[in-house]
Amino acid sequence: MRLPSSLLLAALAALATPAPVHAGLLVEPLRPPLPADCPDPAPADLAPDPARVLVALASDPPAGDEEEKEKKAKPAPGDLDFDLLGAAETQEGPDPALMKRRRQMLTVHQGVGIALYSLQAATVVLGQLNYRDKFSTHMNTEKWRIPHKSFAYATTAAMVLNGALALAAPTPVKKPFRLDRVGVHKIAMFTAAAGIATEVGLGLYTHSREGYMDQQHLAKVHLAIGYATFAAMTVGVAALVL
Amino acid sequence: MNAALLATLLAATPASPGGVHDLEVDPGASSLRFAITHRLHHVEGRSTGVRGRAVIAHDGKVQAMVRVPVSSFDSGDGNRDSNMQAALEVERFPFVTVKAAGSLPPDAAGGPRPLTVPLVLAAEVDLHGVKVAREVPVQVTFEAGGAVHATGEFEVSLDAHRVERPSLFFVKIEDGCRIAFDLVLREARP
Repeated sequence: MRLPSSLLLAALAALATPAPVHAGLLVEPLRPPLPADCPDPAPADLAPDPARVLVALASDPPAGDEEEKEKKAKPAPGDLDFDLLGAAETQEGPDPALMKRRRQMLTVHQGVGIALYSLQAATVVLGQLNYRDKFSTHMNTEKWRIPHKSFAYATTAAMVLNGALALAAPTPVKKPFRLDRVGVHKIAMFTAAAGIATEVGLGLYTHSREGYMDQQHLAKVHLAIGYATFAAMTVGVAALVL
Repeated sequence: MNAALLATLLAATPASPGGVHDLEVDPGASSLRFAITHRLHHVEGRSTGVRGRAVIAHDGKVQAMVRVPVSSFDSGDGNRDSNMQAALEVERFPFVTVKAAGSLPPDAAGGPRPLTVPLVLAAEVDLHGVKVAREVPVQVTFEAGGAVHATGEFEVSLDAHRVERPSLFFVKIEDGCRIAFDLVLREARP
């Protein structure tokens, strides 16, 4: 038997079209499948509560809310959680261990420097008193000779120690020499160091000229260099302080 | 008639489209200075190695960020600068960074030029790896040529940033470090 083509088309269309879901399907009480001999129990209401379904549906955002969500994830203006510059270029910094050692050594250098300046001042005063005792009053008691000599050696030792500390301190941050405060300090302290070295030699030579006519003249030069050394040291300290 | 309508519409359109302004700090024209005080000295230093950017949104909201390498500060004394770098642990924290945000008055970004606007920005100062929040007053001038000039100053506490304050003759420098900035910003090139 041949079916009319219009009927065949209608049947195919009915199969291809999904059955419409009945709006009231979920509201109907669902019944579990039961054997035929089982008495009909009270219908268990397994249907979801329509109100709960509505609540559950309401909590799911529609597709258009995704954009809104993204906007909220960005920091609000006024918030400081932003980065306008991106990652910084990495810079190779100085060795932290060397930086720390430099700081420690230069802190000790400052302490020894204060002691050195005080020792130099005392040495100059004692040298002046010694000169006066020997050549001005002609009493020549020599009561200032040993104190002056002791302080002179202590000053020399302090200068050697402090110079060594300054020169041996590492310089992890290289910098060209400039005539800034520290530049002036360095020049002044090198001058003072040269003065002290001269004073040691000249002082010993002057002492060896006991009884000679030129001893007073040498002592005077020694005294003058002592004052000049103290002046250079004062400039060195003032460069840092003022 | 149509021409008159078009002219009216054009006149009603603001001179600036009111869009986002993306501004970059001009390092050659900008500087950042600091000042510290010791019982014996008052020291000032400056850096011209400032990098920065600011964004002004169409609604006047401003976000700004400035970054300065610690090694770029120059106080005129190489030894002191070296000590400053040691105190700030430059090898661990090579930059000082300031982020700030706030709002311009309505129409300031698209208004007439020149225009100077005082602002107080909520800022975060990242110094020595420690971030401290504070307010920063800024004087913003919108120049006629399109450049923006921002100046201001504020003080940071070295102790708050856990900086071991350097000392001279065993006397530490004072806790307050004054920072002044003079920044020229221009529209960023795309």
